[in-house]
Amino acid sequence: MNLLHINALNLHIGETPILDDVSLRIEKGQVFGLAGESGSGKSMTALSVMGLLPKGARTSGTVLLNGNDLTRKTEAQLCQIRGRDVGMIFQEPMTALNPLQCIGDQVAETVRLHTRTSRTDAMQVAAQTLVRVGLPPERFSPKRYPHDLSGGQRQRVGIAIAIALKPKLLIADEPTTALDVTTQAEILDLLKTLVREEDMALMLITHDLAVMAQMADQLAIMKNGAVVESGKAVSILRKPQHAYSRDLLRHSVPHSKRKKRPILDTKPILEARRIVRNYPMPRRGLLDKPSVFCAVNHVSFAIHAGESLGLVGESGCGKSTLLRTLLALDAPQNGDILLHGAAFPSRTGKELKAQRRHIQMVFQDPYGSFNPRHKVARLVAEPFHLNDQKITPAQQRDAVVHMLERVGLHASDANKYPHEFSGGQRQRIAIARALITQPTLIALDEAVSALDVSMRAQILDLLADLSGEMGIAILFVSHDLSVIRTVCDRVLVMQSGVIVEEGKTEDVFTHPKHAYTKALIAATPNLQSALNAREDNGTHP
Amino acid sequence: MTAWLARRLLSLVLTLLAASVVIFLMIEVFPGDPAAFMMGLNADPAALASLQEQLGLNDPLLVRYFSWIGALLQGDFGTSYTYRVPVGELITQRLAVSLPLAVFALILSIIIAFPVAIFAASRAGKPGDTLIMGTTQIGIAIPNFWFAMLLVLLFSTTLRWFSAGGFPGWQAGFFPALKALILPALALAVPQAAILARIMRAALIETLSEDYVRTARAKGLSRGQVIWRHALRNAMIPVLTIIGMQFSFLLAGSIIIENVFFLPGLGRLVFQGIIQRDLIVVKSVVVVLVFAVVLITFLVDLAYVLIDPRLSKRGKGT
Repeated sequence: MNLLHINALNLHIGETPILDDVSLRIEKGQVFGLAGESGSGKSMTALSVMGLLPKGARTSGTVLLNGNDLTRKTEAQLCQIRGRDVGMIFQEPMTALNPLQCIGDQVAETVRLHTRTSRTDAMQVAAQTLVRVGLPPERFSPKRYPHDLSGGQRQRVGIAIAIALKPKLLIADEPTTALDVTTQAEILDLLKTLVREEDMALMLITHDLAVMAQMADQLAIMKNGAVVESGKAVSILRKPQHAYSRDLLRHSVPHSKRKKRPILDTKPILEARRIVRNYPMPRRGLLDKPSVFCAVNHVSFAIHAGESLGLVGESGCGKSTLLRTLLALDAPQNGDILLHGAAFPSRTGKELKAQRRHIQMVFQDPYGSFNPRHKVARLVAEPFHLNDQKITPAQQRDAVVHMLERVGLHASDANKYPHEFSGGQRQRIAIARALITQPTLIALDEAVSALDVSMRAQILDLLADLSGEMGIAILFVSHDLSVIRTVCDRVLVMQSGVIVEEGKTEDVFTHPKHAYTKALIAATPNLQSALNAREDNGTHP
Repeated sequence: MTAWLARRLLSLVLTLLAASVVIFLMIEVFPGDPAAFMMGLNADPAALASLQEQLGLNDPLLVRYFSWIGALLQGDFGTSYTYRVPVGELITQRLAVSLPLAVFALILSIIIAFPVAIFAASRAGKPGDTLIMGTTQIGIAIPNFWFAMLLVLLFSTTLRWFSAGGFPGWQAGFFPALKALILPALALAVPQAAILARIMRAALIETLSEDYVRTARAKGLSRGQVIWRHALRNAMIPVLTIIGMQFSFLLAGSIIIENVFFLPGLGRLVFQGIIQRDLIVVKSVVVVLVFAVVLITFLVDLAYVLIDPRLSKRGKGT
């Protein structure tokens, strides 16, 4: 008998069909991967198993856990099963823990809820579980609160909550998507060890096929609420049968049409000279001098015309602070920024406007950076206030339409609101807004990180076209090494506020010199090498 | 935590000092001659001069300010111009009515609002929630003096359970005094409870959509358990802010209710002080109320820190 057997599961929320005839079998001690793009129904499948579907959900079909149909259980019975027989880990470790409760209590709550144990005994189980997930009490007291911990440490607490009672089935919904690559590698390792040692089954949901190649025994690929292909993970990833699986696999490694260029020996567009940006820390005593946290520490570099420069580093390394300083949104304590040879930001308002026209920005979350009450035409035309001469509404309109068509949207889209677009289309609008002042440099801050792989491929192609035709320099800030590797001519690696390595992209990736760069590259999941490694293990057990 | 407390206390003292300067300027300097104001248009020049002398108005401003503050620090509020008794005594008597009334009304407001909010939030969008939220709208819309009169009509005139007004004093015994405060406290509490319930419901509903609530549900907690163990405490931050503001309002703003029920409270004292142009009384009551409001704000801040461990970290340093 299978541990979990989902049979012909259909799900509607209101009138919208969400899942269409989903069938899966998961066995004990197995890692079952569920892959697909956003909106494909991966998470909804998991929530159906937990019985935690949103309001208005109607299901048909069966979800058998050890032969018991979960769809026929009452809410009270489901409460007994959740946390005891099925544990779940979520994507956002930063918000998944109660900020007002210490971590020990949060783990102990699972124990006390399902077993008749005293508070002290439950705390003891919690302490042991925290050790099990790599949070030993000498460094991570169970009395600590979530805000004291990093994202990876919080995800470990989330895992501890889920495994405290050694459930038979563990569901992990994008458990490492919000984490840095080195942390991701550690968490995946932990999950693997737990599955092997506790003989649990793991349902692993992720959009990242390279992670699947490392982890999954069985794999199912979902699209629009249906499973399009399922079977042994290695064989699907080696020889996908369904056209959609092939697409997904092809896009999982970013490609770019962009030709790598030699660094032109011209004057730089933007030059940073020994930039320092400190933040004051809270004072210890009433009269103590506040200490400082150095987010950017004497950073120097230059970007040349038409060049694509990558800036990589993990969260908290100072990338975003550096970017804010470069865009003159934040003043550095020390150092100079030169834009086309002149100090940036200029002291005179008129020159500053001209300078701002030269640098534009695209952010990670286009939805958050658009005023939801404005139409696209107004959003894209926003940077026109940087122009010296006033232009007529008709000219403005023409320029907006031209730019929308340039980024692959339609003229009629100008009259829509941002919420009417998909994530990829919104990112196109953001690019149109950035290009409308005809800048010489665009800075992209994690601009493709929130997109599905097929969308990501389209946006990268668009950027390649634009930089090729318009000769715009690109500053690409990302934690994603594979994207940086495809789109950038040169790369800067940043750690703790310092540029630790700099060079041509291929040189840095093939012969990394700094230990940190090596660690980053090693931790980045790679589909091919993961598959090769597993086949080697398979032939030599 | 100690450093945080020290800093908060320092800012408390500075706020009070700033407030005292503003009160001094507003009452003694900007309107012109306080003595002339207190004696009215037809004042006898000799009497006016003697009052000016008595109030120390002939001294320079700074001297006047510091002698006022110095006296305040020793508990000396001056002597009332109309009542001819020390203002400190007057305020103490009136506070003995106003403070218990405010506390009583606040407790009633919380007792009504909390269960209502929890009930409504756990049924958000369902008919029970809609009915309750509609009712709270009415609660907010009703003027409290009118509601007070309805209470008097029902409980005093018709049912004769309570007297229609007056206060026997605490020397008449705890329960008779408390009984006299029930109707006024209820009249004050109901509109406040309606506001509090709406805010708390909104805070709870927002908290219930947080990721950690989903984590808690995945542990096996039922919807009800999630509210009690996780959502309620997280929703307390906005609720505490409102409770603090409501207490300040109840202490200072019960003038109308005190008049409806003939209660000798602080509100009526300041009201009479204004009518009789007794600036010494007005100034002193305002100082006491400002002190109370600043103190309450401080206590609310302290409560935030007790509820939310993230806040005390800021003060501790890392």
